[in-house]
Amino acid sequence: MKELRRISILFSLALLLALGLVIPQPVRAQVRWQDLVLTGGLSAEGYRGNLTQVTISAVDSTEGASSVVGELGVRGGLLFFNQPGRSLDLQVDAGLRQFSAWGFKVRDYAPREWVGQADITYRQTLTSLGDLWIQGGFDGRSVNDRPPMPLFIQPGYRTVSGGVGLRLLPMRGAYVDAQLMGEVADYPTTALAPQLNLLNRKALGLETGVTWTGLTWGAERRVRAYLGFGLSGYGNQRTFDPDDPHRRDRTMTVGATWTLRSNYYVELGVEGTVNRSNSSRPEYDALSLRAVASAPLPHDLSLTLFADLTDKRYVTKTDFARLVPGEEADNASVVYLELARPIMVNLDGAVRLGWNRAETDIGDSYFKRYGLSVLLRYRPRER
Amino acid sequence: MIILGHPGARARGLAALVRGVSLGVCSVLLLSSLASGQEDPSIQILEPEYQQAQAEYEAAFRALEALEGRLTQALEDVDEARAAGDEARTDQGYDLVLQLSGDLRLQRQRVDEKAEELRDARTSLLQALRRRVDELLADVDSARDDSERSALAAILQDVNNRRLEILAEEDPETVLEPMRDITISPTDLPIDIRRKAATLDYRAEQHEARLEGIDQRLEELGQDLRRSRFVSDFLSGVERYGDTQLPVGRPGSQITPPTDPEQRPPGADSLAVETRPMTLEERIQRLEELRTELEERIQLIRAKAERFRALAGGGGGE
Repeated sequence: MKELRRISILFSLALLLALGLVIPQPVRAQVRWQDLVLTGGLSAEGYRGNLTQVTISAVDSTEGASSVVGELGVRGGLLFFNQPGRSLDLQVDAGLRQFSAWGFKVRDYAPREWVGQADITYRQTLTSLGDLWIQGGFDGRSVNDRPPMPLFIQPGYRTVSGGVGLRLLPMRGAYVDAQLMGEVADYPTTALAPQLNLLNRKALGLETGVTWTGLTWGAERRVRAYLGFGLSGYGNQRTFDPDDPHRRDRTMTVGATWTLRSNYYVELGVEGTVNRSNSSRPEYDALSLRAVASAPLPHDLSLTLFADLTDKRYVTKTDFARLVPGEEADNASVVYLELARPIMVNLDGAVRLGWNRAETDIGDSYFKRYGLSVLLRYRPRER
Repeated sequence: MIILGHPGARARGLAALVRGVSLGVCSVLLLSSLASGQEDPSIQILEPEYQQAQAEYEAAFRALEALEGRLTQALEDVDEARAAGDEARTDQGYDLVLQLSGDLRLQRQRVDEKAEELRDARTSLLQALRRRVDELLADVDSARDDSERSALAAILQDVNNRRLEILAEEDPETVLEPMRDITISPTDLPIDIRRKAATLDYRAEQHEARLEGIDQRLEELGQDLRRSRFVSDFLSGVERYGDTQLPVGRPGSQITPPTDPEQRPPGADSLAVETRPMTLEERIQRLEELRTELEERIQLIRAKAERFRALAGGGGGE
């Protein structure tokens, strides 16, 4: 009954959003849609791994499993007002994904994921300084019938975040920005994964960056370099130090992103992370490379690639896992390739190939995931 | 309750009520009289205000004409660059055209505002002049002698002349007539008028050719935008369920600045900062506005050409 109610809520929300009925009549005239996309898809996935020794609590782990997956999603943005001096917008993203997985030793699994995210942003121009941003957001997901490895599904959580940012007026074509952000995350536990609440945390981050933009008729180029510092507290993780009993991390991040937006879309990013803690186990250094590229092909086809590669090295080697697999892996690689084409004015079709590989911090344990998806994306407000 | 309770008390109550109402009415009349006296600015104040409004309106209209001229020149430059196949010059030309068409749109709003202010100032001044005329008429009637009557009559005539001058002034123009340089002069023969109609047709055809160029640009930009949407659809799809989430950092809490293309960088609408080129979405929007504007111009020019031909006694162009 609970699931049925959730499904009906998701569909009702999508329908109401599509019709613009959730907005009161007097406000509707002022409110403007930025985009509204409904997505439906079907996938076939395979999973391989040698993680059995890690998932001690999940005795049903196996070397290989398969699944078929159905998904529904809705994404949209509402611009309540956008004046030269101020603007207010809400971005919403929600989805449902249902697996039917088999190949495990004891039983088949039918994990179901619910995800939802809402972010509201208010911008106020400070005449002689720049723009001030105030953001608030909610991000939540829940997972039913979470399977053992090698089918890794991110655990459910709820996060509430808020932040304030300032983007200064351009100086010699460069925009300097700085932002302060806080977040509280809560991971509900399950009978099979009582350790999930170890991930509960409170975090505070400060990031400053510089953006250079170059826009011409042919292309829009953007480079952003940034430096961030974050503090995270994990109230449920012990350090075995009576004077400083709970885990506290300090994270330094430095990175840069280059974006080209034209007939081709290219985004290249590099990020280095140094994480230090009062608990020696989660101390690590990491380097991530991210690439997104999209190119036109004949017959209105468009090819898009996403690749995210990370090399993460722990400062101290440990021989046992304390967190869920995948959460603090040594390294991971994610590659997606998608071929998309418009079917109608407001309907796009896509075929997507996916490949993930992630290692844990236990020996040479890893899992791999392969997937083939067929997706339809419908923009009801586009004619 | 007191009124209903006792006859004597009822009479006293009624009397008090009548006194209260009378007092209230008198107060309202007195206040309104005082207020109307205060809201009756003199001609000495309203005349300079009117002249100021007129000067501001004329300056705004001259700026509109100047921008119109610059836009026409920029469109012709684009035509030349396109004809020469010079892509870089065409791009630069379109940048300027879109910038100027945006400026022109804002200037039209300013002209509308200034015209409205001028109309208001004119109405106020006319009311004041009419009141002054009435006062002077009364003064003339009650003049003590012929000398005073004669002096008041001279003032009355001048005030009335001023009133008639303002009444005779045309309503401020807010829309530029298309092809203002092409007009019919009293010496034009029908053949001259038909030649001018043919010139107007040619100008309309020029705009139609420009529409083709704009449509081509819109098509290209639309494809770029579609690609951009494919990318955002793709990324939101793979990131929605956390499948791309790497082990580095905290899940679901990447700190990123707002990069929505619709959220303009600071200073985009301020005159105090350096200008920046337009984003893809802004360019599409401006091009669509320019397209609408050119379509309207074509209609107006065609209508003007038809009017010329009708005045010339019908017939086509040369």
